[in-house]
Amino acid sequence: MLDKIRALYASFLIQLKLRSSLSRMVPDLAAAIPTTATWTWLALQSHSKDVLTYIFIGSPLVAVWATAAFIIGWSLRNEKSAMTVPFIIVSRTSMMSVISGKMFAEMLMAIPYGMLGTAVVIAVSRQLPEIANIWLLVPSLLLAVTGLFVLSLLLAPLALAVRGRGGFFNGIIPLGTAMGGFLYPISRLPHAFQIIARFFPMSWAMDSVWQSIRGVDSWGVFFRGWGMSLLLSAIFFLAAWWLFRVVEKQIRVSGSLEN
Amino acid sequence: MKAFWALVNKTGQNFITQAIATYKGLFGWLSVWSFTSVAISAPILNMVVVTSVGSYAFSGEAMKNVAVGVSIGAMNYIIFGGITQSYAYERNLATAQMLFASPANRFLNYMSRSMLHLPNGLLCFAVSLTSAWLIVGLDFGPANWLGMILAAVITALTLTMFAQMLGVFSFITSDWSTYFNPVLNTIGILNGIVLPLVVFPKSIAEIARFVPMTNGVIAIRAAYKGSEMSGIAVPLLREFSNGLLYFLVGYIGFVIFERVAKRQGTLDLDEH
Repeated sequence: MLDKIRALYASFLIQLKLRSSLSRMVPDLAAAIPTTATWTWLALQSHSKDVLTYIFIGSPLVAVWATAAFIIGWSLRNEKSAMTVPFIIVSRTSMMSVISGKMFAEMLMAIPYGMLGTAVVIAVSRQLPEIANIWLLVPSLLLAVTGLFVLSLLLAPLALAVRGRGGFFNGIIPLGTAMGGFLYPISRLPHAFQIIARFFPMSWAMDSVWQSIRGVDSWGVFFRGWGMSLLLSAIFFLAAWWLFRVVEKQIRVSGSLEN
Repeated sequence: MKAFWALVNKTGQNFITQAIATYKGLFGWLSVWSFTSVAISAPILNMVVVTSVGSYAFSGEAMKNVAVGVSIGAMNYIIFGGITQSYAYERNLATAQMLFASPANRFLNYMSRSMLHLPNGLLCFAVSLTSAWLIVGLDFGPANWLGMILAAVITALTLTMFAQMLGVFSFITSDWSTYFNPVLNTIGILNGIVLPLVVFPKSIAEIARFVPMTNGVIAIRAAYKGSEMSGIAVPLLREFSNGLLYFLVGYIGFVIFERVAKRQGTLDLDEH
């Protein structure tokens, strides 16, 4: 167990070093400003503080999802190209520990995005968010982030298992953005898409976030959001664990790193 | 006369060969999953996101107006991404040197790079418009279909020319992904698809008319509402002339880069 934690910490540090270069961060930060400003303007037209607060909280999550899903999703393939996968295979370190460490680094790197998103929302709206119950918001948000984490983790072995090529995430990242409930409660989606969205753990957690912002209408609905988010996150985590094992076995049995 | 037609035939064949070669060899999204993601899934999901977030601000006819704009905006990702990455990959795969060493007609080569990406954009437009029809219930009864199609084609042409211009930058820097999202998102805020141009100061709104798609969006919305061709001619002409401007700037950049690189003996200009 200690070895896994050491491996996780090592990959966390490496990813942090790779990602904290300004030349990589500045374009991503710059890209987030126009879209956040647009969403804020739309939220302002609703004349609802709750909606504005929802965008205030959700827009950094969209940026985190888009960046983390893309980078973590390609991480195994990049490890393959950089010829570091053999070392992972030969050692007793699990691939999942390595990728999880990278994911934690991505979460930490999300802080500048969060701060920038906050600044943009405040600059455009000239208002501060209002939250009915911050003590419920924080754990709800943590659950949303957890859902985001496990879904991104699943993408790394998936990309390798299905021999994903360039553009693989062009459909997956918008899917997470649309179905994650980051920018709007799922009830705003067309009915058919609401059903799909309920398979995403973040969508349930964001229901609880919405209730935390507005004030809890129904404790049943609120805790259902927590429960379903935890359940789906656990299922996706197990799926990621299983897929990592499949990929490792694929490499060990074939003896080849080539697709 | 025979010789003339033989030359036209040979040039045409050459053009088609280059268009196919650059498309098949340098377009990284040309696999079933990737292409379906970017050409089918992404436009549908983008429509879902914009109409869902847009429902905070718009409803009824205003929402349909936004959706029509989003459908034409669906072209930009695949066209920008496809063309700019092909320039970057040409550098990274070291085939740029072959081009510069060859006697190939540079104008034809430059033109050929974007040709097969244009139908991709139109495909995204068609998918996005269909999803708009299903999600917000567009009513095409009064629509001027010829105007809508013309607006889509001219906007797609302008986008390819703009992407070509950016592609030259990718060619020089061997990178396309770093500035792809910032440029796309900046255009997205200025093209009037979601944010109406009236929210900006007049000076910014006028600059926005030189941004790709802005005039195309005005034209297609007017055509959707049933405007005659005379009513959409001006924005279409502006869109087309913007495209010519991008084409000119891009082609000049393309030619200058080759000359500078040959003079310096390297494609990596930042080494000097």
